[in-house]
Amino acid sequence: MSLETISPASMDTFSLSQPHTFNEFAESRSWEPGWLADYRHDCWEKFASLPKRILKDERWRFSPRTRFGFDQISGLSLPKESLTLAVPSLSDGLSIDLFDQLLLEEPHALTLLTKLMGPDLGADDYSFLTGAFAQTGFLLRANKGVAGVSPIIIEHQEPEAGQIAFHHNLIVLDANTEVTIVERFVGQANNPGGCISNLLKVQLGEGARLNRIVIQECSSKATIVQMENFNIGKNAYLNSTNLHLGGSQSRIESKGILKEPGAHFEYGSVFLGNEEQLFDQRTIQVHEAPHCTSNLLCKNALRKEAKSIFSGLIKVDEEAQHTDAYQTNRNLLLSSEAEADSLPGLEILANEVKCSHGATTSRIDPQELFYLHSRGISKVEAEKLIALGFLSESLLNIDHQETRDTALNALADAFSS
Amino acid sequence: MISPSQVEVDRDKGNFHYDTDYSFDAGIGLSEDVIRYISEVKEEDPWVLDFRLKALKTFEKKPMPTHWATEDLKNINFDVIRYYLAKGQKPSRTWDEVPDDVKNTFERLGIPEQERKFLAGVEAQFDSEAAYSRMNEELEKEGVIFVGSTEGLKEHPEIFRKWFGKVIPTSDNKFSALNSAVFSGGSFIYIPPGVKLAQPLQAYFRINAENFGQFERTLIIADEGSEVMYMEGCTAPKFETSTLHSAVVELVALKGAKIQYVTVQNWSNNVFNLVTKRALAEEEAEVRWIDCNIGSRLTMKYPGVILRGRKARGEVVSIALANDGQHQDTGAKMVHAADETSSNVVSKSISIGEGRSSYRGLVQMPGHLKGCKNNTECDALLINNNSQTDTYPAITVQGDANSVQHEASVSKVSAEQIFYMQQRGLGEAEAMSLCVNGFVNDLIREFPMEYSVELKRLIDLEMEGSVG
Amino acid sequence: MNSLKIENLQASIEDKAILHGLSLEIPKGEVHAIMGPNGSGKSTLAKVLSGHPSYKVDGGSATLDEENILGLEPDEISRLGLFLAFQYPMEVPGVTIANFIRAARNARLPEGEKVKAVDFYKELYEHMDDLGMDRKFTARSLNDGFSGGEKKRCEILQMSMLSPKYCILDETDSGLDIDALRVVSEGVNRMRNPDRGILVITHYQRLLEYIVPDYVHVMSEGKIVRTGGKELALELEERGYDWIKQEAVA
Repeated sequence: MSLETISPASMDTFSLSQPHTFNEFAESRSWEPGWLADYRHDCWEKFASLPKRILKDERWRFSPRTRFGFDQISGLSLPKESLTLAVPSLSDGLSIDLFDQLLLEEPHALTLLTKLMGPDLGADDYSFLTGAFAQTGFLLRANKGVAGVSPIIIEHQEPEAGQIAFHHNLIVLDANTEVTIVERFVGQANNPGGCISNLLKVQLGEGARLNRIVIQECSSKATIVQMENFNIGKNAYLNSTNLHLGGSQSRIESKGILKEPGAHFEYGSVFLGNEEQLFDQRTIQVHEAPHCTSNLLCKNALRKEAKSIFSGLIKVDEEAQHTDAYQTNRNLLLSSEAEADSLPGLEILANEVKCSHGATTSRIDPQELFYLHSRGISKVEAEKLIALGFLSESLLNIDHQETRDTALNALADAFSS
Repeated sequence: MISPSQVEVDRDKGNFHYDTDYSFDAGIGLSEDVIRYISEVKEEDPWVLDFRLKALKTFEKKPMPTHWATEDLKNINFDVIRYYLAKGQKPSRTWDEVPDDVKNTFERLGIPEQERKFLAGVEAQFDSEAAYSRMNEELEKEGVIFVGSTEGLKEHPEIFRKWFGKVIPTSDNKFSALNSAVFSGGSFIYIPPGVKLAQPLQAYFRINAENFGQFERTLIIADEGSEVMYMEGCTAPKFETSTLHSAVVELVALKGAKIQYVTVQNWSNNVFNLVTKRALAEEEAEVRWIDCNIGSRLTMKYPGVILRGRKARGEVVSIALANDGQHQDTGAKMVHAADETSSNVVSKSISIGEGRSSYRGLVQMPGHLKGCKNNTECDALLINNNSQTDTYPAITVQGDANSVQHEASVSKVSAEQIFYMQQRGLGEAEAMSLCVNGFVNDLIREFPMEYSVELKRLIDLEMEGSVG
Repeated sequence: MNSLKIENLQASIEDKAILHGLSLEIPKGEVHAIMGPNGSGKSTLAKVLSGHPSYKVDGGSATLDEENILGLEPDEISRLGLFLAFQYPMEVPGVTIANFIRAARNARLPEGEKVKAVDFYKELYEHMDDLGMDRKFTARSLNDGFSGGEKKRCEILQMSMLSPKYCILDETDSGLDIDALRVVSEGVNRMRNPDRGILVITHYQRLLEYIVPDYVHVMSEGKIVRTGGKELALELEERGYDWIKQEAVA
């Protein structure tokens, strides 16, 4: 029996909030190891016991939460199409495998997943459902000292309208490894409008380095929920650069935990909003250990009726003396209907720290516009140029040149469409 | 190294009290009867009683805002508070007529002396009612009104009723509802068009009785083109049990008017200070909240300006000092509701020992507006390694014709700075004091001279109690 | 005898020994220079003598006019009459130069006494004029946003206002252009007198052309390894420090 035939994508009266949907799903996965069944069940229970309506959840402040509801979802996407890998020849000790393959070939490796929690920034429903229903995902492992030369490319496919894909991913890099990955979120051409719920956990050992680039180009009808946990060990370095272009509504939750001295967390995100796009981003930089640094820069440019929410927190624990932490949110409003909400927060419990945040929301400087105008560039074109310059600054951080060009081109293309 | 000490040097000035007999006492706890009693002794119009009773219902319905605010709010026991205590409802016009125990209190606090020196008018509130209220006769002739809330509503309803409860609706929050139910005292001020007061008006709020809740209500209306500076100070003796102070302050600045509202809050550190302050600024009007919070156990106060007229300006300048056992949760709200309005927020906080200071801000700019600007700066200084600070601004901007800038930073006085200053012969405590004064120096200058001297002294004393 | 006297001084930071038994005596009226390669412990000596809390004294003695200074608080040492002109003066935002120096002067008076504002400003302005400092500087925050030259002038201004018995100048020449170097040196030279001892710490001989020392000491690995007249500085300039290190080992 192939996996496809038992996928419950076409189940009758599919509803994510109904126990029978989960029970039927669990039934269809009865061949899975017991620990996985238990994990799914546990996640389902946690989902089911979430309070139905929290009126005043600060973690959803300013967010039209109904846009992230489950009512329109009538089935699960097929795992085979949902996630694909383009893997260069890998060094020994570096491996990337798909969840469903591992399940057949190396199930014990997947037990790591059961320790995977959501970032706890609001979308608990999605993180628990991902635990309960995920049929695919990737596991990237690097043994001590291994360095990957070219980037590993991972493609998350937007499902067809009405369907949801749950991806459950894990990256574990041992000491002194270096890996670059590109995660692309690809739009659905035929029947756009699906939902992706993507849960990722990254664990970096001593001195490990991860460069991660996300390019999200889903259809303008898609719903994207990304939940990311970054656990950064001693002297380890994590750089996550994110370009968000598609989607009707996106919820991004990113948590960087600086667990041991010398850890560094670099996080950049760029969102170009158009039409009625909603970009709802929640971040937290948690400094648990002393002598760590983190730097976050989130830039949003909004056209038409697009709306962005940036909610970020720097949390410095009592033990985390000698912390350097920065958080910046810059919003550029390009139309009279666009809206940017900004919630930059600090919670500082140590005193030997350098911490600051800045948030600005503004329009294009008329002087700047006039300057370009006076060089014969049309107003529309000048606005594009300035906004493109504003956003692309954050992408210049991408080390891998080919990937950087890809990202810059994708951004430029988005402007001309 | 520097460590917090138990000494409470800073509040010694206010830490005394005389036994007092009260002729009017609403008893302990909150009920409809208490409200009827208050309204009756004040001989209020029926509409005021009605307003109070409705507010009580709202208060009872509203939950404590602990989904975003501190859990410490749960420690307020509304059933053990005395909501109205007074010797009488009519304030004296001369200090000689003020009963001795009350007069001695204010003399010890230096109020009559300040009045002689630089004030245009003074109101001195002792528990629920003003004991003394007097204003410069010249101003009276010009039509300036400076009375208590009871008198304001009774004698000048045509002026005050129109705005009463309009800037801050009863249902704004749980504590504005509480105040609306049991308010007593505070100032009602009206400045006629074009009248510019050269000297400030001052109110002094004194809590004298244990387990007492003070709920003054202030409404200031500055008519077109007028200018006024209002200053308030407050103290209470340090009792074993906690005390509640919950004021509502509404300001209305009509076209081209200027209001400066200066607060030096120095409650003893078992007072819950939960205050709602908001202003309405019409065309080209300017409202400045100049706020310093040194005392109290928990202060929650976010002065706001609704910028309703074109080119209106709003400003909040605030200094907060949180020592052991204190949480200064302060901030600002700027609601832009007309074109070309601008707002500015500068907030500096100092956390000492286990003190915690928080900044909460709100800035709103809807998309139909043009040319609006906000600038916010929050700086926090942490003195000890167990001191805490948080910053939680919320900024909403719509449209491509407005701009907002927010910046916040956290820093400490470095050991190297202290060493440098010690190398010049200054003791460690003095060096720390100088650094802290330096940190807030530019904001202290915003206070009237008489206050800024007092403030520097308070901060010095507070630091000395914390270093060594 | 009236001198700043250091005998067999041993000191360390974070368990790392830096000074290995240093001895030196600076009598009043003399100018001594300490030269030495980077990392030889020159700045550590200045910090230890000033009572910097990060350093630990492991042995030896240091006295100022026969009074022990080791183990005292930095401000006590300062009030006994030791002034350190810092290599990197700290920025103290919000505290004006005038208020700072006044507070330092007041700290030297008996409890309750204060310097008179009029006299203080007269004196302050005189010294500022001597150092070519704009009088507006009095209202600026201490070293906050100052250029390298302005910071060093401000150090010399403080030194002249506090009239210490002994001065240590730690790499005062670093970051100065030739004009600033001259002004600063003139400021120091004005302070040379029979009642004051001065110790100049420098890496380069250049400064010693302006502040001519009576003695030059060479420091290496936490000790004075050679002492000579002002001509020793020239020799060092010519031959570098390596030969001294080798001699010291041998």
